[in-house]
Amino acid sequence: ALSILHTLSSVLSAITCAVYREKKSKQHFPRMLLLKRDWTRNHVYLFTYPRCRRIPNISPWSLKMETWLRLARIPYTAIATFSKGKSIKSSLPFVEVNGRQMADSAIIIETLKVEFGKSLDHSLSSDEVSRCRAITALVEEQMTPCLMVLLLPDVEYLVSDEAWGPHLGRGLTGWFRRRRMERRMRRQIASSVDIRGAGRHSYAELTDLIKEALDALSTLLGDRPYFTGASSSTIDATVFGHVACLVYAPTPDGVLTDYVRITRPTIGKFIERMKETFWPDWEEACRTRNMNTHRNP
Amino acid sequence: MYIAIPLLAVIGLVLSQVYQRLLRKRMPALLKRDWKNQHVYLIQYPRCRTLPNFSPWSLKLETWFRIAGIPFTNINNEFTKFSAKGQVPFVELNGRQIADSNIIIATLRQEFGKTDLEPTDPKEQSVARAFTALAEEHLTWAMLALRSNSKNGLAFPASDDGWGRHFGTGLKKSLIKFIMGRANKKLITGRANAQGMGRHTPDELHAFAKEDLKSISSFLGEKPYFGGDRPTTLDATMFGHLAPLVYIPTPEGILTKIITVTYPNLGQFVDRIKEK
Repeated sequence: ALSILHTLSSVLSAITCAVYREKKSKQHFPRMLLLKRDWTRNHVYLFTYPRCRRIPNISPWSLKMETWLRLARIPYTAIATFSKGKSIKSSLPFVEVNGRQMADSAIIIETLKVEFGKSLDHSLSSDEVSRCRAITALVEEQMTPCLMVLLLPDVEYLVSDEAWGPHLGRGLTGWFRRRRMERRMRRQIASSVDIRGAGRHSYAELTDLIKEALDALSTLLGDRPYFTGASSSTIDATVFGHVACLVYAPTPDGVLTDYVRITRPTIGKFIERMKETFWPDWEEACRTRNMNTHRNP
Repeated sequence: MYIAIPLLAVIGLVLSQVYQRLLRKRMPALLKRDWKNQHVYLIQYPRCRTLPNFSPWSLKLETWFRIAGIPFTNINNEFTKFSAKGQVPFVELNGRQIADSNIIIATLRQEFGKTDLEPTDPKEQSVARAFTALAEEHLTWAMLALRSNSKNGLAFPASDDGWGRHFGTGLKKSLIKFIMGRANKKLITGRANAQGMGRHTPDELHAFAKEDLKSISSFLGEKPYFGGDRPTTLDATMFGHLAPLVYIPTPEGILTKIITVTYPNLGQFVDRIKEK
């Protein structure tokens, strides 16, 4: 009996050690197990949310990531997934390229710029680089959380038939999966915005903040076709990804969509321009829910 | 007839309770009852030794009051009093409570008519707004995530240089220090994780912070203040967020070194505002 206890305790301790070590090193060592085993060299595999009816990707960061890949002319394949647990930072979007997994759009962009040798932002002066960084912070950290708070009462839209509903299945299983996804999204968005302080503002304050951010963006764009002059760069992909989600995903009363289209036509036209240039297959992708309607260079 | 009176009494009681509960949510009780007119009462965390205030937003607000020349009084919140939104700092002015530092600045700017603190050019205003977002939301959260990741990055608030003096002496002090240190660490780590910065590795966070400081330094350039020759709201914001990096020991002292050595114009800016 004592020997059994001994064996049992050693087995248990081994499991606990393994689990603990696994959890502890989760952040610092990338997963050895790739999701896409048969990968092609120098081809990016982008793992992101599935397509929706009105907008190819309802998450601003995923849309920004995909737009950037098209802008930088990097060959990629988009793969639809919901499981964030598979990425090293437990976040979507993440990519797998040349046998390595990377997460967080900012880090991915910086790394891919170096790896694929893209001279996308090389011609920018240090002044412009710092300004672009500030604009990125304004859009990603201030504007989009406010938008998330506004959309929080409408989390059901995310799992409806217009958005991810068809991907989550039909019938009884589908119903359960949808409810679980809805709860998960709501919890995640609510906790993230509450901490920032955006979650505590009132509706009027939030719309004011978003409008001020849009004002700032339209002033900074001016009458140039892109944020950095005549040619597009990373900042354009960022702004497009976040503002397009604002325009195309329905807000409760369409106030912000009107604001972009009517009161601040500069930004509205910029969004249209980016859409024509980099997303000519927008309608097709949204209608057929196909992840790979683009042509790779 | 005999049931009418007690019925009315019950209804009156219920209504008064409902009214009180609803109203209590809308109008939180003022902390300073005997307030003076047109005098701002700023409620924030208690003073620290090396730095007036540990929280970047409180520091930014108080610096703004000093720059704008608005009469204000500091009130210690004893770590227990928070605004209607559950945040600190907040102010009470003319019998009204205003929360969230950005809303406070916008409201008080209108009330006291301090429009000369903003750049008049809309382009400069937009740039100022963008850099405010960079410092407030990106840099500070990167710093908080860094501190929560490292071993004693969050030791400052509970230490003697921080709020240690307010805890009393002897056993009570050590106990509070111990509990507060642990609770603070858990709170900040949880917040950093929820916000999203907590999932990056320390190296990546250092890279983020360095790039942010580089951008801010490049934006400041050779000017004495961010607004040119006179300090503006953006200067208050920048000081509020950069000063903790300089005066509170950061993990491995890297960020402090970056500010003072690699980007000396930022270090000089912090000193300049501090002198004033």
